[in-house]
Formats: sequence, structure tokens, C-alpha cells
Amino acid sequence: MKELIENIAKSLADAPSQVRVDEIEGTNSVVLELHVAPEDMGRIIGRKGRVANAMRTLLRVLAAKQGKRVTLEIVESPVAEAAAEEVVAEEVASLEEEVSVEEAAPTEAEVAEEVTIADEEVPLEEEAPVEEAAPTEVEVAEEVPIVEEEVPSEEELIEAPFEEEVGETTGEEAD
Amino acid sequence: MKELIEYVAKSLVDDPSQVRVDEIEGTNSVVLELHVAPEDMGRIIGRKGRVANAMRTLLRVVAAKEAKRITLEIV
Repeated sequence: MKELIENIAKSLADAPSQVRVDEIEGTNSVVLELHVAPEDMGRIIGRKGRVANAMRTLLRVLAAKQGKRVTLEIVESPVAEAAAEEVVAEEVASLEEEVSVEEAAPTEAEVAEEVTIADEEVPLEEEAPVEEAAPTEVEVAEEVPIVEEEVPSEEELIEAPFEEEVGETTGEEAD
Repeated sequence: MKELIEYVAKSLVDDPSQVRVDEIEGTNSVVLELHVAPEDMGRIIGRKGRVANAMRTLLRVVAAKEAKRITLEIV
């Protein structure tokens, strides 16, 4: 499973050398942490998480064969991680300072959250990679579990033009 | 692109030896024909075509980098 994701991610990324996959194995479940360069995050996650979900779909097939549950997390590469940790540390520090005035003024974290949401809602051009709206580490961490449970992009994908042909084929095969 | 699909398909199927991908190239578009063993068709297409569509999504990213349109057919 690790190899599959590593191979796919390397094919998609602009910086394949920065792709790394860590596999954390439990008894029945596996967590795959996919690390990519910050500038590849958008491409690897895709608009509305479509690419990330495509990888999860493929993983699920492989995991099912082995009778396991698999979780795919997408994380920025270590270099950027260190920088992100600093930012988080700064935010925490500023939060602590502002505890008394918290209600009067929005905290840095709140502002950051709003900015992120605004970024996401900017309609992107069809087929364009989401690089401009490269999601932050925090955002991805939040987004991943939600997306996985609701699986919205898969439903959307089914509405894509090639649905009919595939649907028919699947039906035949299912019989 | 051919290599990516070939790799992914071989990872998923029960019978990797029967996986074959033919690439038909036009000026701006590429058609990939993925051949798999009949008993692997269900797995490679997936329920409601989910797996097939997942592969198409990945292909689209690679194709966008090369400014091409891509069609994946499963045969």
C-alpha cells in the first residue's frame, strides 16, 4: 500500500524527491502519512480533495484484499513542517497573551481560519490545479477525516460525463 | 501516464500478468486502453465506477501537466 501511494504521488508531484510515505500499522488498520513538498500540496489534494479521495478509493481496494482499514493523511514535507510548527507556536503564544481580550478582538488563529475558508470558496477554473489555494497543514488535517466520511467528491465524480459508460459496464460485471 | 495506470492496475488486480495498457496518442489527446482479466473487471471498475473514476482523476492531474486530454477505457 505504501508503494502504491508513493508511486502515485511521485507521478503527480512536481518535486518527486520530496515525496515520502510513512506507514503506521495497527492490528486491523494502517495509517499512511504522505509527505509532499508544500508547493505540491494543492496538486496532491486536488480541488475539493478529489485527488486525495481518488487515492483513498484505490487504497481501499488494496486494503480490502488484505482485510484492513486504511487511512491516508497528507502532510507537508518536513522542511515546511518545521516552519509550520513555528507558526503554530507563535499562534499559541499570541493566544495566551490575548486570553483577556479574546472576546473584543479576533485572535490570530480565528483570523487565519477565516482566511483559509475564504481561500477555499474562491471558484477555481475548471481543471486548474488548486496550487493557488494551497491548503495549510492545519486545514488538511481538519479536512481529511470529514471528507473521508462524507465522500462528496466521489458522488460528484459519478456525475461526470463518463459515468454512463462505466455504470453500464459495472452493471454487467456485477451480474 | 501509461506507466502510472499500468502500475496502479497491477497493484489492484488478482492477476497482474493479464494487465496491459495500450496508449493511442493524438495531437492533444491520449486514449489509454486498460485490459484486465475478466474476473478482475469488477475490482478495477469498482462499485458505480468508483475505482475507474479514481484512476481517471489521477490521470487528469498528470495529463494537465502535459496539457493533454486523456480518456481511460477499460476493456
